[in-house]
Amino acid sequence: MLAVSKSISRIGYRFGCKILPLLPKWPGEVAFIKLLNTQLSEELEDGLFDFLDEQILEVTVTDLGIRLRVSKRGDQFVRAPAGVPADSTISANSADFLAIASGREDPDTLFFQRRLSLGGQTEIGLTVKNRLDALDRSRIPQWAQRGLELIAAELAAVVAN
Amino acid sequence: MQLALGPAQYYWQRTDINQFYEQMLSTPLDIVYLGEVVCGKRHQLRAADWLELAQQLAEVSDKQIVLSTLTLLESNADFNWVRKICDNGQLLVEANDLSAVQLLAEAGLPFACGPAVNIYNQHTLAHLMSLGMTRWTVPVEMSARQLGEVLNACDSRPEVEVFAYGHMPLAYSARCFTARHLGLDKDNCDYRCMEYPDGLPLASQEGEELFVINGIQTLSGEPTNLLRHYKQLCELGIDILRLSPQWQQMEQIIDAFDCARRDDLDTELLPPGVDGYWCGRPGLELIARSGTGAPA
Amino acid sequence: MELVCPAGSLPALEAAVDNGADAVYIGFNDETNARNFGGLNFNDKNALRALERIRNRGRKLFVAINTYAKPDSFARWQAAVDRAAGLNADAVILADIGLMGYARERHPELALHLSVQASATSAPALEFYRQQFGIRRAVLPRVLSLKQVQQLAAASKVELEVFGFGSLCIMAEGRCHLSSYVTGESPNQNGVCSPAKTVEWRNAAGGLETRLNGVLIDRFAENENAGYPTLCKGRFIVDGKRQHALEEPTSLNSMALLPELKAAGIQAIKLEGRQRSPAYVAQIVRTWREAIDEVLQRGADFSVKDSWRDTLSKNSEGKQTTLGAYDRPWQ
Repeated sequence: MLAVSKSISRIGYRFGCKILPLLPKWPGEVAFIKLLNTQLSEELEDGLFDFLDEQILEVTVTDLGIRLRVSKRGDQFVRAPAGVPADSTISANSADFLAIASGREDPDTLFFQRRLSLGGQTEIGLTVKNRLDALDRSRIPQWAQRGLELIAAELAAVVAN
Repeated sequence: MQLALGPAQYYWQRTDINQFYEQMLSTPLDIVYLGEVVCGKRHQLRAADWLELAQQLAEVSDKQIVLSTLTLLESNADFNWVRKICDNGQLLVEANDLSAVQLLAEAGLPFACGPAVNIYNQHTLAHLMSLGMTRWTVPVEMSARQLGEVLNACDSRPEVEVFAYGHMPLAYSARCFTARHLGLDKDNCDYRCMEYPDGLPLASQEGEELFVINGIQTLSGEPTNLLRHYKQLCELGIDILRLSPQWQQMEQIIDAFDCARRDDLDTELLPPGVDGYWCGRPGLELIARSGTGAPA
Repeated sequence: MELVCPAGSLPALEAAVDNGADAVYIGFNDETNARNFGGLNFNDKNALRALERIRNRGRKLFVAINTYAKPDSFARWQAAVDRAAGLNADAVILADIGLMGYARERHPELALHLSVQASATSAPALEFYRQQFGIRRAVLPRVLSLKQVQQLAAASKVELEVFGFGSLCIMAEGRCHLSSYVTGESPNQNGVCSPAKTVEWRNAAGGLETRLNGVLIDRFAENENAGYPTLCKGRFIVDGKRQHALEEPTSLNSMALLPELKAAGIQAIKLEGRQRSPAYVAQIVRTWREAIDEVLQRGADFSVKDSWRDTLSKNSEGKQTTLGAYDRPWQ
């Protein structure tokens, strides 16, 4: 597991840094939004993400040049239309995003250290953060959680070098 | 409508303090609050000196003289100061924290509550009235609408006083910001806040006047001015308007409010100041820019 | 010495319990609590889950209802007290006198803790709340020096809780209107300091700008650490000098004083940060658990380990900590 995660993160990271910024659009956007809709269906039904209705949140992974633009319509997250400026932006590098996702680091900590930045309407970014913090992590399979933690740890080292 | 001079917030020379209050005797004020409310280290006048001054003023004047207590107590010395004021045996005391409320309630004395005692609703008001509170100066951040709601919900109400003119006390800290600005420890502050009889202005990096530093206290950068809301204050049944002492032009401020209560309101007599809190907005805003009425 | 830990969400509560919290404090998701931020705090469903997890692990649950009740919606604050009592919470943390009267009368069995927002800094002030409402414990404002805390502990008839770590209010809590002066919303009435909807971060020529309702609070150069966009930690002009006139971005850390606090008879240490993530809660709770255990074991021989200091600094505003008012020179 350890070796696998090491190579995935090392090779994947180097490859990603070279290739992704060259693409006009991140190819994973559709799949990612689909994943969000499945994983967060309960929260969506409960109206916990209604604050994103007709709002555009733009997440930028700085080192990989990934730009994810999400909005919400009805009970679904949707891709935000191109050309419309975002209402709220969040950006950090891939290692820091993974550190947050895996529960290694606190977003405020990264923010104080200027590794995570917010733009536009702060309240949207803050509410997203709080909603994601409140998700029940036991719903993510153990192996996936562990893998995420390992990759996050490894990537933190790779990026630091 | 009665006019009150609130307790002085700044640190002035003893001779200046005496002179200032002597001048105030010849103004149309009805009530004068006296006493150190900001810093227990200030020693131009100690508790006994304030008591003496208050008694002198009470003897020669028919104005009501009220003694105000310290707002933020930290040391035993601070508390002893408050105890001396509460034990004065003659004059009404304005409690500015719950220590003073406790002493006065235990002694069975009537008392006033200053704006830094957190009374935000009718239930808190009723509880303190049951303990002897007879006068309430409303927290500076409370709006006219909220005040009306509290008063409408009260079975019996105390005398109600509103902070109507002056730089509003906004915060109290353990730290002395004047000493910090001068690079001094609070323990060795040399009482340098005396060099700033109107406090030390603090502006944003774009030059917007935000606050006034006054030792451990932070005041609003602009004075609140509710002169343009005089009619509404009367309609709400406010009993007393508090005018906060300032080094210069105090008489003009008093006169402007006195004109208003003699049906001769002239809002041009004073700088516009701010009225955001009163209008349910951020405190630094100016909502009623002209005339005598304010948007509801 | 009880370790009282923050939780703004269920995962944070679990992180606190897993890492050694004796008690966890939470709030309901409205303006009845002093961390009234979007997406944070507990609805009834999650509060029940929180209680279940607390009970399973034999810890305590406190509910903070520590803002001042508004005149037109006092019922909302009463309902919050009723909900906490209905949960059978171990205590409610209150600041409003009217609300304490209600809690005492309606739920005589419910333990009352006096919130730091009530700003009780002297023995008679504590005595007021004890005589009137039978408070069991008070949280002390972060304005007292260590010596003053010791004197108060000697005189107090109620348990005392002091702040161990977290974002530092430099003003006496419950007596600061800086936020409402600029934004219209205050900790006292709205449960929020510098509400997010009024905050703007923008990259500009002079660096990263932060504005509150349009008012420039600070500009950060590229290598400077940032803090929360609160007025007390901004950089302003005083007498022609650009400076952190009130305080720099920094967090409070009183760990070095643990032996003295313990000797003074302080019953509980509070960690701040219901607005932070489970990752923060896990790290700081674990660190403080170890430190308190060490103090209980070694008494005055206690010293702060470098690894603890590093963890706490890393999670701090501006990446630095201070003893705050406990230490006279800070004042």
